[in-house]
Amino acid sequence: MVSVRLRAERLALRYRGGPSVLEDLDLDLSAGELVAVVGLNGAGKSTLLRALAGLLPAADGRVLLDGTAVHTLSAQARAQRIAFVPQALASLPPTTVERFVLGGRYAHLGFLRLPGPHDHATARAALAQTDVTRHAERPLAELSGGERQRVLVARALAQQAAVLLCDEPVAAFDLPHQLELLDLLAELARSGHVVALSTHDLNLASQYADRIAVLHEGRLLVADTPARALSPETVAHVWGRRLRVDRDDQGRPRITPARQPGAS
Amino acid sequence: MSRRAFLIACVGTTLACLVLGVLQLQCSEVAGFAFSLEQVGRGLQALVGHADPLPGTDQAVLELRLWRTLTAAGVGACLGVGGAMLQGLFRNGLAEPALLGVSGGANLGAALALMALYGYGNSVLAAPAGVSATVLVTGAAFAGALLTSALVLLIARGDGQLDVVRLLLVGVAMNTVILGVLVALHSLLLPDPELSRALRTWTFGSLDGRLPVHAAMVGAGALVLSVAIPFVATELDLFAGGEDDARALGVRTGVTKLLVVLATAFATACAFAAAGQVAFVGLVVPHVLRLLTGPSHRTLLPMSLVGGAVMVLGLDLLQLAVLGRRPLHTGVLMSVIGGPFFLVLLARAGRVGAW
Repeated sequence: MVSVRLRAERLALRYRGGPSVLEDLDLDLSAGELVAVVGLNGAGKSTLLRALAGLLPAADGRVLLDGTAVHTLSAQARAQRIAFVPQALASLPPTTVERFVLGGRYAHLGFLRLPGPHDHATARAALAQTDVTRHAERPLAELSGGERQRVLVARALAQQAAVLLCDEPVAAFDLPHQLELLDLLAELARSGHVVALSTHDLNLASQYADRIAVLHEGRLLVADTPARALSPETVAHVWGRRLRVDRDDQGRPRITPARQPGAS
Repeated sequence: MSRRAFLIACVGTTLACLVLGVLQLQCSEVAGFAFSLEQVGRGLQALVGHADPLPGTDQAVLELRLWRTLTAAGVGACLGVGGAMLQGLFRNGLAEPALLGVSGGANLGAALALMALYGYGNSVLAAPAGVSATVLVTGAAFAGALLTSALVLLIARGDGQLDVVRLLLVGVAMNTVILGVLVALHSLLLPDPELSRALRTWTFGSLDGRLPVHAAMVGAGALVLSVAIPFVATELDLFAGGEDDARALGVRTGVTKLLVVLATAFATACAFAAAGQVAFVGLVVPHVLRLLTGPSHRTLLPMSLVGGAVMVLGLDLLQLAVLGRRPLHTGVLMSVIGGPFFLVLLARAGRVGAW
């Protein structure tokens, strides 16, 4: 796979007519690394990922994919190279899991958008990779939240894009499946993908991410290795003083919540 | 639905459509007699100049039946596909072509034309009968439909992006306004019995006395929809997860929305202008077919084309068979027979096949 690079330059994002969500943000994502985006609710994690995916217009600055501004790419060219996994769908398509995952092939389909044998094979491989093959024939609406999330990831994999941006991909998962999916994303990163995900779980971010981007009050506070990004000072500044930060035996930060002293 | 099942279903409904069409040609509402298959064949050949015309008034009667049949099939096709496309776009099973303001606009256009014909306003127009009058009313309805839907689109567009929810709301508001104006007109014109009757006929739709121009109109509408189907079917499937999601997958959502709305507005304008307000087809046909074929627009849209035709042809035939010469507005039968049929189907299905 050709080495890819996704880069935000002085990126500013704001909702139409509203206050700015993010200001003056520079972030460089390269192939081979997994980047976790963390921050409080409303810090702009989803907004940033959607902008990186070329789905939100920048109020200022730009997002470059290998030197090309993403907003100048056609929808098809963009989707061939950038896959975005939403936190949830606006509504549940009344379709089966396999047909839904086949939707990820759309940007690769020809004139009349008829999927061929290769597309079906890619979709089935994606189902297997995310461990949902046994649900292939089931209606999407029948799945549990976690299963559905894995199906969303499967569809992004079927897209075969070099850049994979996931908005809180593990929020609805039980712990074993969280680890499984993060293993998969880490492996994709190692195989040359650009992988970024947002999460509230600082410990998982610390364990899996090569770099962590901390968003706070509309700015990128720091984007660095877990040890530097989740320093006790940063954690206290962003998440408050009730989190204890120490290191595990591999030197990665470990965050433990502490109960209010005196509370019973 | 497998490809084979889809092909069988398609061929089946197309055959049903043809059989209904021929049956309808054999009936006659004018003189109460039926044509034999052979007579129908000869009459059709005569129409294209390959045989001698049928004796007496038979040829004229048969031709009238032909325009009626073609118009009925075309109206069904236009409204069926139009409804299916809009339900897919709005992700809402309640959507129907009337929501674009098309039916209200057509109604208003026709009402104004009828008023002009009956001497209200500048009376430079022909007498309120005859071919030119029908063409005038049809043309006015078509213009009204297109103008209203253009207005709806313009308002819904607002700041450049066609927002689907906004479109829905603007359509509903526009229909309310037009309905108010129409009811006001109807009340004011009540003392004029002939004009009132003409207005009412229009409101409930009619397939009586159709002309080649009507058949050609709905044919054009159905053609436009057929051409659009391959370019919006897969895209509408992806719209099911929301517009943003479709965009992330590489769908040019703006193009899809525009294609669907323009094709639907045009085709339903054709349908409503050609036959008046034929209620319910655009709502029911997609739902019935979804229960049968599943929700994928790749199968649903082509099936709606023939399915809509079958429904309108079937109901019209039923009306001719049962009521004979006593005319009833097409929309009435659609409501009193189509409605309960749909309710039974819903009750049996347990849940509505989501869009």
